[in-house]
Amino acid sequence: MSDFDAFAERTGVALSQDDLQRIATCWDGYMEAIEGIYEVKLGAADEVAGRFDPQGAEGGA
Amino acid sequence: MADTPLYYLSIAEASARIQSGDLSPVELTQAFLDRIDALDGELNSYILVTREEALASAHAAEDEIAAGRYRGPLHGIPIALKDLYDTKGIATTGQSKLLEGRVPEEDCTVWGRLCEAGAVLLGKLTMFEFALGGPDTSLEELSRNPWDLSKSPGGSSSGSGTAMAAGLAMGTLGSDTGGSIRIPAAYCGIVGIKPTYGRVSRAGVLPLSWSLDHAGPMTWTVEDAALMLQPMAGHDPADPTSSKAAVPDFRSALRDDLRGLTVGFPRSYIASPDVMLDDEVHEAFHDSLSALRDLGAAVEVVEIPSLKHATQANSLIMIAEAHAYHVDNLRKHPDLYGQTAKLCFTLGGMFSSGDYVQSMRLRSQVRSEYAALMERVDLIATPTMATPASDFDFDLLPVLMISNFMGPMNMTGMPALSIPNGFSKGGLPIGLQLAGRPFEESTVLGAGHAYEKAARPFARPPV
Repeated sequence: MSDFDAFAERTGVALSQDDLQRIATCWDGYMEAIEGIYEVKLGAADEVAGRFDPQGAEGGA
Repeated sequence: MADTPLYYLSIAEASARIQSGDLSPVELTQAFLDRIDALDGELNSYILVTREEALASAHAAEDEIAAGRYRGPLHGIPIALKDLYDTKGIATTGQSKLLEGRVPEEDCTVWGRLCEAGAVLLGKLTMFEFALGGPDTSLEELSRNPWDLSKSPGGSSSGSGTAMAAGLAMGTLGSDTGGSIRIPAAYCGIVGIKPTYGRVSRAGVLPLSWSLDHAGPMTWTVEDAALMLQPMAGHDPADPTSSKAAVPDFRSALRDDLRGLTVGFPRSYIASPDVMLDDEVHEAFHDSLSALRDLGAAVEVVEIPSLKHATQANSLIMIAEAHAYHVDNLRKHPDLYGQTAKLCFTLGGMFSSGDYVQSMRLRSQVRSEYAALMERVDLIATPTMATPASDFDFDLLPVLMISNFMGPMNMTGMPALSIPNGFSKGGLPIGLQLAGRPFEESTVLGAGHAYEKAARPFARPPV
Protein backbone atom coordinates (compact mmCIF):
# COMPACT_ATOMS: atom_id res chain seq x y z
CA MET A 1 0.00 0.00 0.00
CA SER A 2 1.38 3.43 -0.95
CA ASP A 3 1.65 6.31 1.52
CA PHE A 4 -1.20 8.01 -0.31
CA ASP A 5 -3.49 4.99 0.03
CA ALA A 6 -2.56 4.59 3.69
CA PHE A 7 -3.28 8.23 4.44
CA ALA A 8 -6.62 8.03 2.66
CA GLU A 9 -7.57 4.82 4.46
CA ARG A 10 -6.64 6.30 7.83
CA THR A 11 -9.33 8.95 7.49
CA GLY A 12 -11.97 6.23 7.71
CA VAL A 13 -14.05 7.89 4.97
CA ALA A 14 -15.50 5.65 2.26
CA LEU A 15 -14.09 6.92 -1.02
CA SER A 16 -14.81 5.67 -4.52
CA GLN A 17 -12.07 5.11 -7.07
CA ASP A 18 -13.14 8.37 -8.72
CA ASP A 19 -12.80 10.19 -5.38
CA LEU A 20 -9.34 8.73 -4.80
CA GLN A 21 -8.27 9.62 -8.32
CA ARG A 22 -9.37 13.22 -7.91
CA ILE A 23 -7.45 13.61 -4.66
CA ALA A 24 -4.44 11.80 -6.14
CA THR A 25 -4.21 14.27 -9.02
CA CYS A 26 -3.53 17.14 -6.61
CA TRP A 27 -1.64 15.20 -3.92
CA ASP A 28 1.83 15.91 -5.29
CA GLY A 29 1.02 19.61 -5.40
CA TYR A 30 0.02 19.52 -1.76
CA MET A 31 3.17 17.65 -0.76
CA GLU A 32 5.29 20.19 -2.64
CA ALA A 33 3.50 23.08 -0.91
CA ILE A 34 4.04 21.47 2.49
CA GLU A 35 7.75 21.13 1.77
CA GLY A 36 7.76 24.89 1.30
CA ILE A 37 6.15 25.39 4.69
CA TYR A 38 8.90 23.28 6.30
CA GLU A 39 11.61 25.30 4.54
CA VAL A 40 10.68 28.56 6.27
CA LYS A 41 13.17 29.63 8.92
CA LEU A 42 11.09 29.95 12.05
CA GLY A 43 12.94 32.21 14.44
CA ALA A 44 10.73 34.43 16.55
CA ALA A 45 7.79 32.16 15.83
CA ASP A 46 9.45 29.33 17.75
CA GLU A 47 9.42 31.45 20.88
CA VAL A 48 5.71 32.17 20.73
CA ALA A 49 4.38 28.99 19.15
CA GLY A 50 3.90 27.39 22.54
CA ARG A 51 1.66 30.18 23.73
CA PHE A 52 -0.31 30.92 20.61
CA ASP A 53 -3.35 32.98 21.57
CA PRO A 54 -6.48 33.42 19.55
CA GLN A 55 -6.10 36.79 17.90
CA GLY A 56 -9.15 38.04 19.71
CA ALA A 57 -7.26 37.83 22.97
CA GLU A 58 -5.14 40.75 21.85
CA GLY A 59 -8.22 42.88 22.15
CA GLY A 60 -8.76 41.81 25.70
CA ALA A 61 -11.12 38.85 25.35
CA MET B 1 -31.25 59.76 -6.60
CA ALA B 2 -34.91 60.34 -7.33
CA ASP B 3 -34.64 58.30 -10.54
CA THR B 4 -32.76 55.42 -8.91
CA PRO B 5 -34.89 52.28 -8.55
CA LEU B 6 -35.50 51.44 -4.91
CA TYR B 7 -33.55 48.19 -5.23
CA TYR B 8 -30.45 50.13 -6.31
CA LEU B 9 -30.43 52.65 -3.47
CA SER B 10 -27.59 52.39 -0.99
CA ILE B 11 -28.44 51.72 2.64
CA ALA B 12 -27.36 55.27 3.48
CA GLU B 13 -29.72 56.71 0.86
CA ALA B 14 -32.66 54.51 1.78
CA SER B 15 -32.28 55.00 5.52
CA ALA B 16 -32.26 58.78 5.14
CA ARG B 17 -35.52 58.55 3.21
CA ILE B 18 -37.04 56.12 5.69
CA GLN B 19 -36.12 58.32 8.62
CA SER B 20 -37.64 61.38 6.98
CA GLY B 21 -40.85 59.50 6.17
CA ASP B 22 -40.24 59.76 2.44
CA LEU B 23 -39.88 55.99 1.96
CA SER B 24 -41.92 53.17 3.44
CA PRO B 25 -40.04 50.04 4.61
CA VAL B 26 -42.96 48.02 3.21
CA GLU B 27 -42.63 49.63 -0.22
CA LEU B 28 -38.87 49.09 -0.12
CA THR B 29 -39.17 45.44 0.93
CA GLN B 30 -41.80 44.78 -1.72
CA ALA B 31 -39.49 46.24 -4.37
CA PHE B 32 -36.83 43.70 -3.44
CA LEU B 33 -39.30 40.81 -3.33
CA ASP B 34 -40.54 41.77 -6.80
CA ARG B 35 -36.96 42.00 -8.04
CA ILE B 36 -36.19 38.56 -6.61
CA ASP B 37 -39.29 37.14 -8.33
CA ALA B 38 -38.22 38.67 -11.63
CA LEU B 39 -34.53 37.71 -11.65
CA ASP B 40 -33.63 35.03 -9.18
CA GLY B 41 -34.95 32.15 -11.24
CA GLU B 42 -31.92 32.75 -13.41
CA LEU B 43 -29.44 34.14 -10.87
CA ASN B 44 -30.24 31.60 -8.12
CA SER B 45 -28.84 33.69 -5.30
CA TYR B 46 -31.49 32.66 -2.75
CA ILE B 47 -31.87 29.20 -1.27
CA LEU B 48 -34.92 30.45 0.68
CA VAL B 49 -36.99 33.65 0.39
CA THR B 50 -38.73 34.56 3.65
CA ARG B 51 -41.45 36.59 1.99
CA GLU B 52 -44.09 36.62 4.73
CA GLU B 53 -41.60 37.24 7.52
CA ALA B 54 -40.01 40.05 5.51
CA LEU B 55 -43.28 41.85 4.92
CA ALA B 56 -44.32 41.38 8.55
CA SER B 57 -41.00 42.86 9.73
CA ALA B 58 -41.32 45.73 7.27
CA HIS B 59 -44.82 46.55 8.52
CA ALA B 60 -43.58 46.43 12.11
CA ALA B 61 -40.71 48.77 11.23
CA GLU B 62 -43.08 51.15 9.51
CA ASP B 63 -45.37 51.23 12.54
CA GLU B 64 -42.49 51.78 14.95
CA ILE B 65 -41.01 54.60 12.90
CA ALA B 66 -44.41 56.24 12.53
CA ALA B 67 -44.74 56.06 16.31
CA GLY B 68 -41.44 57.90 16.71
CA ARG B 69 -39.32 54.89 17.64
CA TYR B 70 -36.69 55.05 14.89
CA ARG B 71 -33.89 52.63 15.77
CA GLY B 72 -31.16 53.81 13.41
CA PRO B 73 -29.83 53.43 9.87
CA LEU B 74 -30.73 49.75 9.48
CA HIS B 75 -34.34 50.19 10.57
CA GLY B 76 -36.54 48.86 7.77
CA ILE B 77 -33.56 47.92 5.55
CA PRO B 78 -34.00 44.57 3.67
CA ILE B 79 -30.97 42.31 3.94
CA ALA B 80 -30.19 38.62 3.38
CA LEU B 81 -27.89 36.09 5.06
CA LYS B 82 -25.55 33.41 3.77
CA ASP B 83 -27.19 30.11 4.63
CA LEU B 84 -24.84 29.38 7.51
CA TYR B 85 -26.16 32.04 9.89
CA ASP B 86 -28.64 30.43 12.28
CA THR B 87 -32.08 31.99 12.17
CA LYS B 88 -34.71 30.97 14.70
CA GLY B 89 -37.53 29.05 13.04
CA ILE B 90 -36.02 29.45 9.55
CA ALA B 91 -34.07 26.65 7.86
CA THR B 92 -30.27 26.97 7.91
CA THR B 93 -28.47 24.26 5.96
CA GLY B 94 -24.98 25.35 4.94
CA GLN B 95 -26.31 24.32 1.50
CA SER B 96 -25.75 20.66 2.40
CA LYS B 97 -28.08 17.70 2.28
CA LEU B 98 -26.54 16.73 5.59
CA LEU B 99 -28.48 19.59 7.22
CA GLU B 100 -31.52 19.62 4.94
CA GLY B 101 -34.58 20.59 6.96
CA ARG B 102 -32.51 21.80 9.93
CA VAL B 103 -34.38 24.63 11.67
CA PRO B 104 -32.42 26.39 14.44
CA GLU B 105 -34.11 27.14 17.73
CA GLU B 106 -32.10 30.32 18.26
CA ASP B 107 -30.79 33.19 16.20
CA CYS B 108 -27.05 33.54 15.79
CA THR B 109 -25.72 36.53 17.70
CA VAL B 110 -25.10 38.57 14.57
CA TRP B 111 -28.60 38.21 13.14
CA GLY B 112 -30.02 38.89 16.61
CA ARG B 113 -28.13 42.18 16.67
CA LEU B 114 -29.13 43.16 13.13
CA CYS B 115 -32.72 42.28 13.96
CA GLU B 116 -32.51 44.48 17.05
CA ALA B 117 -31.24 47.27 14.79
CA GLY B 118 -34.44 46.90 12.77
CA ALA B 119 -33.18 45.06 9.68
CA VAL B 120 -35.68 43.09 7.58
CA LEU B 121 -34.74 39.52 6.56
CA LEU B 122 -35.41 38.78 2.87
CA GLY B 123 -34.08 35.23 3.06
CA LYS B 124 -31.09 32.91 3.04
CA LEU B 125 -28.45 32.92 0.32
CA THR B 126 -26.76 30.16 -1.67
CA MET B 127 -23.16 29.30 -0.89
CA PHE B 128 -20.46 26.70 -1.41
CA GLU B 129 -21.42 23.73 0.75
CA PHE B 130 -20.24 24.30 4.34
CA ALA B 131 -18.34 27.35 3.03
CA LEU B 132 -15.86 25.31 0.99
CA GLY B 133 -17.54 22.67 -1.15
CA GLY B 134 -17.87 24.52 -4.43
CA PRO B 135 -18.43 24.63 -7.29
CA ASP B 136 -20.55 21.49 -6.80
CA THR B 137 -22.78 21.23 -3.74
CA SER B 138 -25.22 18.67 -2.48
CA LEU B 139 -28.18 21.08 -2.28
CA GLU B 140 -29.39 23.48 -4.96
CA GLU B 141 -27.42 25.01 -7.78
CA LEU B 142 -24.90 27.76 -7.23
CA SER B 143 -25.75 31.34 -8.06
CA ARG B 144 -24.52 33.00 -11.24
CA ASN B 145 -22.43 36.10 -11.75
CA PRO B 146 -24.78 38.93 -12.79
CA TRP B 147 -22.03 40.49 -14.92
CA ASP B 148 -21.78 37.34 -17.05
CA LEU B 149 -24.10 34.43 -16.35
CA SER B 150 -21.52 31.97 -17.67
CA LYS B 151 -19.10 33.00 -14.91
CA SER B 152 -18.89 32.12 -11.23
CA PRO B 153 -19.74 34.83 -8.70
CA GLY B 154 -16.95 33.36 -6.58
CA GLY B 155 -17.36 31.77 -3.22
CA SER B 156 -17.98 30.64 -0.79
CA SER B 157 -20.44 33.50 -0.18
CA SER B 158 -21.73 33.14 -3.74
CA GLY B 159 -25.35 34.21 -3.32
CA SER B 160 -24.26 37.09 -1.07
CA GLY B 161 -22.21 38.51 -3.95
CA THR B 162 -24.78 37.88 -6.65
CA ALA B 163 -27.75 39.23 -4.69
CA MET B 164 -25.87 42.36 -3.67
CA ALA B 165 -24.65 43.22 -7.16
CA ALA B 166 -27.97 42.51 -8.87
CA GLY B 167 -30.10 44.54 -6.47
CA LEU B 168 -31.73 41.53 -4.80
CA ALA B 169 -30.80 42.72 -1.29
CA MET B 170 -29.66 46.02 0.18
CA GLY B 171 -26.95 44.32 2.23
CA THR B 172 -25.82 40.74 2.72
CA LEU B 173 -23.69 38.76 5.14
CA GLY B 174 -20.87 36.48 4.08
CA SER B 175 -18.21 34.56 5.96
CA ASP B 176 -14.50 34.44 5.21
CA THR B 177 -11.97 31.71 6.05
CA GLY B 178 -9.61 32.12 3.11
CA GLY B 179 -11.29 34.91 1.12
CA SER B 180 -14.97 33.93 0.98
CA ILE B 181 -16.26 37.47 1.51
CA ARG B 182 -13.61 39.19 -0.57
CA ILE B 183 -13.64 36.78 -3.55
CA PRO B 184 -17.34 37.27 -4.45
CA ALA B 185 -17.01 40.96 -3.62
CA ALA B 186 -14.24 41.27 -6.21
CA TYR B 187 -15.93 39.03 -8.79
CA CYS B 188 -19.32 40.74 -8.45
CA GLY B 189 -18.13 44.36 -8.24
CA ILE B 190 -19.28 45.12 -4.69
CA VAL B 191 -17.75 45.94 -1.30
CA GLY B 192 -16.92 43.26 1.28
CA ILE B 193 -15.07 43.51 4.56
CA LYS B 194 -13.51 40.75 6.62
CA PRO B 195 -13.28 42.40 10.04
CA THR B 196 -10.57 41.66 12.59
CA TYR B 197 -10.69 38.16 14.08
CA GLY B 198 -12.67 38.55 17.29
CA ARG B 199 -14.46 41.73 16.20
CA VAL B 200 -17.70 40.00 15.12
CA SER B 201 -19.23 37.04 16.95
CA ARG B 202 -19.42 33.66 15.22
CA ALA B 203 -21.81 32.20 17.79
CA GLY B 204 -24.56 30.44 15.88
CA VAL B 205 -22.64 30.51 12.59
CA LEU B 206 -21.84 27.11 11.06
CA PRO B 207 -18.05 26.76 11.23
CA LEU B 208 -15.55 25.84 8.56
CA SER B 209 -12.29 26.44 10.47
CA TRP B 210 -12.63 27.93 13.93
CA SER B 211 -9.25 29.63 14.06
CA LEU B 212 -9.69 31.28 10.63
CA ASP B 213 -13.45 31.95 10.26
CA HIS B 214 -14.64 35.56 10.15
CA ALA B 215 -18.17 36.96 9.73
CA GLY B 216 -18.73 40.21 7.84
CA PRO B 217 -20.97 42.35 5.62
CA MET B 218 -21.13 42.69 1.83
CA THR B 219 -22.62 45.91 0.47
CA TRP B 220 -22.81 48.30 -2.46
CA THR B 221 -20.72 51.07 -0.85
CA VAL B 222 -18.06 51.36 1.84
CA GLU B 223 -20.38 53.60 3.86
CA ASP B 224 -22.98 50.82 3.81
CA ALA B 225 -20.35 48.35 5.04
CA ALA B 226 -19.68 50.69 7.97
CA LEU B 227 -23.41 50.90 8.72
CA MET B 228 -23.83 47.11 8.60
CA LEU B 229 -20.71 46.37 10.63
CA GLN B 230 -21.66 48.76 13.44
CA PRO B 231 -24.31 46.65 15.18
CA MET B 232 -22.54 43.39 14.26
CA ALA B 233 -19.33 44.33 16.07
CA GLY B 234 -18.62 43.97 19.76
CA HIS B 235 -18.03 41.44 22.49
CA ASP B 236 -20.22 38.37 22.72
CA PRO B 237 -19.76 36.03 25.69
CA ALA B 238 -21.26 33.22 23.59
CA ASP B 239 -18.17 33.25 21.33
CA PRO B 240 -14.95 32.42 23.25
CA THR B 241 -12.83 34.13 20.59
CA SER B 242 -14.84 37.35 20.76
CA SER B 243 -12.84 40.44 21.66
CA LYS B 244 -13.68 43.05 24.29
CA ALA B 245 -11.98 45.75 22.24
CA ALA B 246 -13.99 48.97 22.16
CA VAL B 247 -16.10 49.47 19.02
CA PRO B 248 -15.68 52.91 17.44
CA ASP B 249 -18.26 54.70 15.30
CA PHE B 250 -17.25 53.37 11.88
CA ARG B 251 -19.30 55.83 9.83
CA SER B 252 -17.72 58.85 11.47
CA ALA B 253 -14.28 57.55 10.43
CA LEU B 254 -15.09 57.80 6.72
CA ARG B 255 -12.89 60.38 5.03
CA ASP B 256 -12.33 62.11 1.72
CA ASP B 257 -8.56 61.87 1.45
CA LEU B 258 -5.64 59.75 2.59
CA ARG B 259 -3.32 62.47 3.87
CA GLY B 260 -1.15 61.24 6.72
CA LEU B 261 -1.51 57.57 5.80
CA THR B 262 1.22 55.29 4.49
CA VAL B 263 0.21 52.45 2.19
CA GLY B 264 2.60 49.54 1.62
CA PHE B 265 2.42 47.06 -1.22
CA PRO B 266 4.38 43.78 -1.41
CA ARG B 267 5.70 44.33 -4.94
CA SER B 268 7.78 41.19 -5.29
CA TYR B 269 4.95 38.94 -4.07
CA ILE B 270 2.44 40.63 -6.37
CA ALA B 271 4.79 40.13 -9.31
CA SER B 272 5.68 36.56 -8.35
CA PRO B 273 4.70 33.90 -10.87
CA ASP B 274 3.26 31.97 -7.90
CA VAL B 275 0.18 34.23 -7.77
CA MET B 276 -0.41 34.10 -11.55
CA LEU B 277 -1.63 37.69 -11.73
CA ASP B 278 -3.67 38.60 -14.79
CA ASP B 279 -2.19 41.49 -16.81
CA GLU B 280 -5.37 43.57 -16.66
CA VAL B 281 -5.64 43.12 -12.90
CA HIS B 282 -1.98 44.11 -12.56
CA GLU B 283 -2.57 47.22 -14.62
CA ALA B 284 -5.65 48.16 -12.59
CA PHE B 285 -3.66 47.69 -9.38
CA HIS B 286 -0.90 50.00 -10.56
CA ASP B 287 -3.47 52.60 -11.52
CA SER B 288 -4.90 52.31 -8.01
CA LEU B 289 -1.48 53.07 -6.49
CA SER B 290 -1.44 56.32 -8.46
CA ALA B 291 -4.94 57.11 -7.23
CA LEU B 292 -3.91 56.43 -3.63
CA ARG B 293 -0.97 58.83 -4.05
CA ASP B 294 -3.28 61.43 -5.61
CA LEU B 295 -5.46 61.17 -2.51
CA GLY B 296 -2.48 62.10 -0.35
CA ALA B 297 -1.15 58.72 0.81
CA ALA B 298 2.54 57.91 0.91
CA VAL B 299 2.96 54.68 -1.04
CA GLU B 300 5.95 52.41 -0.52
CA VAL B 301 7.21 48.95 -1.38
CA VAL B 302 7.24 46.46 1.50
CA GLU B 303 8.59 42.94 1.91
CA ILE B 304 6.94 40.14 3.88
CA PRO B 305 9.33 37.18 3.61
CA SER B 306 7.03 34.37 4.78
CA LEU B 307 4.15 35.53 2.57
CA LYS B 308 5.35 33.08 -0.09
CA HIS B 309 4.03 30.12 1.90
CA ALA B 310 1.18 31.79 3.84
CA THR B 311 -1.68 30.79 1.52
CA GLN B 312 -0.65 27.15 1.60
CA ALA B 313 -0.41 27.12 5.38
CA ASN B 314 -3.78 28.87 5.63
CA SER B 315 -5.41 26.29 3.37
CA LEU B 316 -3.86 23.39 5.25
CA ILE B 317 -5.06 24.73 8.62
CA MET B 318 -8.49 25.37 7.10
CA ILE B 319 -9.09 21.88 5.73
CA ALA B 320 -7.46 20.17 8.73
CA GLU B 321 -9.80 21.99 11.12
CA ALA B 322 -12.74 21.33 8.78
CA HIS B 323 -11.83 17.63 8.79
CA ALA B 324 -11.90 17.60 12.58
CA TYR B 325 -15.37 19.16 12.56
CA HIS B 326 -16.82 16.90 9.84
CA VAL B 327 -15.03 13.57 10.32
CA ASP B 328 -17.84 11.78 12.14
CA ASN B 329 -20.42 12.76 9.53
CA LEU B 330 -18.01 12.01 6.67
CA ARG B 331 -17.64 8.46 7.98
CA LYS B 332 -21.34 7.94 8.67
CA HIS B 333 -22.96 9.85 5.81
CA PRO B 334 -20.45 10.43 3.01
CA ASP B 335 -23.21 10.43 0.40
CA LEU B 336 -24.87 13.46 1.98
CA TYR B 337 -21.91 15.65 1.03
CA GLY B 338 -21.26 17.07 -2.41
CA GLN B 339 -18.10 15.70 -3.97
CA THR B 340 -15.95 18.80 -3.47
CA ALA B 341 -16.85 19.18 0.20
CA LYS B 342 -16.32 15.48 0.82
CA LEU B 343 -12.92 15.45 -0.85
CA CYS B 344 -11.67 18.71 0.68
CA PHE B 345 -12.68 17.65 4.18
CA THR B 346 -11.25 14.16 3.72
CA LEU B 347 -8.01 15.56 2.33
CA GLY B 348 -7.76 17.63 5.50
CA GLY B 349 -7.35 14.39 7.45
CA MET B 350 -4.53 13.06 5.29
CA PHE B 351 -1.81 15.38 6.60
CA SER B 352 0.42 14.66 9.56
CA SER B 353 0.21 16.39 12.91
CA GLY B 354 3.62 17.85 12.08
CA ASP B 355 2.21 19.45 8.93
CA TYR B 356 -0.51 21.17 10.96
CA VAL B 357 1.87 22.27 13.70
CA GLN B 358 4.35 23.60 11.15
CA SER B 359 1.55 25.56 9.50
CA MET B 360 0.62 27.09 12.84
CA ARG B 361 4.27 27.99 13.48
CA LEU B 362 4.39 29.64 10.07
CA ARG B 363 1.23 31.46 11.05
CA SER B 364 3.01 32.92 14.07
CA GLN B 365 5.85 33.96 11.80
CA VAL B 366 3.50 35.66 9.34
CA ARG B 367 1.79 37.50 12.19
CA SER B 368 5.13 38.65 13.59
CA GLU B 369 6.25 39.96 10.20
CA TYR B 370 3.00 41.83 9.63
CA ALA B 371 3.04 43.24 13.18
CA ALA B 372 6.52 44.67 12.61
CA LEU B 373 5.54 46.04 9.22
CA MET B 374 2.36 47.68 10.49
CA GLU B 375 4.43 49.80 12.88
CA ARG B 376 5.51 51.88 9.89
CA VAL B 377 2.66 51.54 7.38
CA ASP B 378 -1.06 52.03 8.01
CA LEU B 379 -2.44 49.90 5.19
CA ILE B 380 -1.36 47.07 2.90
CA ALA B 381 -2.71 47.26 -0.66
CA THR B 382 -2.90 44.32 -3.07
CA PRO B 383 -5.27 43.16 -5.75
CA THR B 384 -8.08 41.11 -4.18
CA MET B 385 -8.18 38.32 -6.77
CA ALA B 386 -5.47 37.60 -9.32
CA THR B 387 -7.99 37.33 -12.15
CA PRO B 388 -11.51 38.46 -13.02
CA ALA B 389 -14.34 35.96 -12.46
CA SER B 390 -13.61 32.38 -13.47
CA ASP B 391 -15.73 29.80 -15.26
CA PHE B 392 -17.72 27.28 -13.22
CA ASP B 393 -15.69 24.23 -14.12
CA PHE B 394 -12.72 24.89 -11.86
CA ASP B 395 -11.41 22.23 -9.47
CA LEU B 396 -11.13 23.71 -5.99
CA LEU B 397 -8.68 21.13 -4.62
CA PRO B 398 -5.56 22.30 -6.50
CA VAL B 399 -6.72 25.95 -6.35
CA LEU B 400 -6.37 25.89 -2.54
CA MET B 401 -2.60 25.57 -2.90
CA ILE B 402 -2.14 28.52 -5.28
CA SER B 403 -0.72 31.60 -3.59
CA ASN B 404 -3.23 34.42 -3.20
CA PHE B 405 -3.69 37.76 -1.47
CA MET B 406 -6.47 36.81 0.95
CA GLY B 407 -5.41 33.78 2.99
CA PRO B 408 -2.61 35.69 4.72
CA MET B 409 -5.20 38.07 6.18
CA ASN B 410 -7.07 35.13 7.70
CA MET B 411 -3.77 33.92 9.15
CA THR B 412 -3.10 37.28 10.81
CA GLY B 413 -6.72 38.15 11.59
CA MET B 414 -6.16 41.67 10.22
CA PRO B 415 -9.18 43.55 8.83
CA ALA B 416 -9.28 43.45 5.02
CA LEU B 417 -11.61 45.24 2.65
CA SER B 418 -12.29 44.50 -1.01
CA ILE B 419 -13.55 47.41 -3.08
CA PRO B 420 -14.33 47.60 -6.81
CA ASN B 421 -11.37 48.71 -8.88
CA GLY B 422 -12.58 48.93 -12.45
CA PHE B 423 -13.32 46.31 -15.07
CA SER B 424 -11.52 43.99 -17.43
CA LYS B 425 -11.85 44.53 -21.17
CA GLY B 426 -14.43 41.74 -21.05
CA GLY B 427 -16.57 43.78 -18.67
CA LEU B 428 -15.86 41.78 -15.51
CA PRO B 429 -15.19 43.54 -12.18
CA ILE B 430 -11.74 43.73 -10.59
CA GLY B 431 -11.13 44.19 -6.85
CA LEU B 432 -8.64 46.10 -4.71
CA GLN B 433 -7.82 44.84 -1.21
CA LEU B 434 -6.87 47.21 1.63
CA ALA B 435 -5.81 45.64 4.94
CA GLY B 436 -5.06 47.39 8.21
CA ARG B 437 -3.92 46.82 11.78
CA PRO B 438 -6.00 44.57 14.05
CA PHE B 439 -9.12 46.37 15.29
CA GLU B 440 -8.50 49.33 12.98
CA GLU B 441 -11.44 48.74 10.65
CA SER B 442 -12.01 52.49 10.84
CA THR B 443 -8.76 53.17 9.00
CA VAL B 444 -9.55 50.53 6.37
CA LEU B 445 -13.10 51.75 5.83
CA GLY B 446 -12.01 55.39 5.87
CA ALA B 447 -9.41 54.80 3.18
CA GLY B 448 -11.78 52.63 1.15
CA HIS B 449 -14.42 55.36 1.24
CA ALA B 450 -11.96 57.98 0.01
CA TYR B 451 -10.74 55.69 -2.75
CA GLU B 452 -14.27 54.75 -3.76
CA LYS B 453 -15.35 58.38 -4.08
CA ALA B 454 -12.32 59.28 -6.15
CA ALA B 455 -11.79 56.27 -8.37
CA ARG B 456 -14.74 53.85 -8.48
CA PRO B 457 -16.98 53.53 -11.50
CA PHE B 458 -20.41 52.94 -9.93
CA ALA B 459 -21.77 50.64 -12.63
CA ARG B 460 -24.43 47.99 -12.06
CA PRO B 461 -24.49 44.65 -13.90
CA PRO B 462 -26.55 44.20 -17.09
CA VAL B 463 -29.45 42.27 -15.56
